[in-house]
Amino acid sequence: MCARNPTSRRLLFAAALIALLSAGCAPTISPYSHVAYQYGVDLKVDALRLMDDAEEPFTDHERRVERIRIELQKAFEFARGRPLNEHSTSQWKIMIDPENHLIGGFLARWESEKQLSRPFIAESQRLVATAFDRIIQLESGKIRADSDREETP
Amino acid sequence: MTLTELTDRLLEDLEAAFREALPQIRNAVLESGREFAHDMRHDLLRWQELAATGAISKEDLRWLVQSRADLAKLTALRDAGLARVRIDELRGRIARTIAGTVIDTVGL
Repeated sequence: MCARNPTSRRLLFAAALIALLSAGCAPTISPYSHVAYQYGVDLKVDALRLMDDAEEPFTDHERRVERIRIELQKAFEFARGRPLNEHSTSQWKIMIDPENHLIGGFLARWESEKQLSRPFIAESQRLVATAFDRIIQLESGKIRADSDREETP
Repeated sequence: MTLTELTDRLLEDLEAAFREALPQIRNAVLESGREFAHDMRHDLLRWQELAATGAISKEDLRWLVQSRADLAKLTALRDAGLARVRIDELRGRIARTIAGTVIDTVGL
């Protein structure tokens, strides 16, 4: 049965639109998390500081490297455990994977080559810093609950 | 307000919401693309110079290029995630517009 007059069509349209929107109003991405934001900021500072020492033998810093690897893994697991958080989880996965070429890859290369050159460290630090910024920017751009609105920039 | 006026007003409000939100999404993606292309070009030129002077090895250069590619993936994920946030905001606004218009019309 078709609605042939304009009024009925408008009524059907409005009803369909409201039904569609009601059904589809669930968010498609996780809300802002202050814990996730803090992981990003803290790990950026710690990682860049550690990278600064990569001119020295890896064995002198093995414990610090192990500690930061654990913290990076925690950040990844925290992201992975949140619903609707695939984008941030994928970011952390690329960031920490030793087969890739950001902080996880940098630490693996330092370990395998024992020492790295200053110009290479400086260039890598710039890229890794920007990579952390991308994670932080995504988190801080998410929709916040009222209680989170004043906590961060 | 008649049903015709209600749906017309709804459509006007929805059009206004789209008109405001869609250029924001488009501009954010274009800006990000421009920034990426600019930074990539500068990085490659600098790394070529560093490799030419021997400051970094060929292996370092190859590694940095791959690192830049990984960074591009993180940037794309950020942009895709932020586009979702904007779409969620737009949907919320549309739902509020519809609810507001209907409530106004019914006189609640």
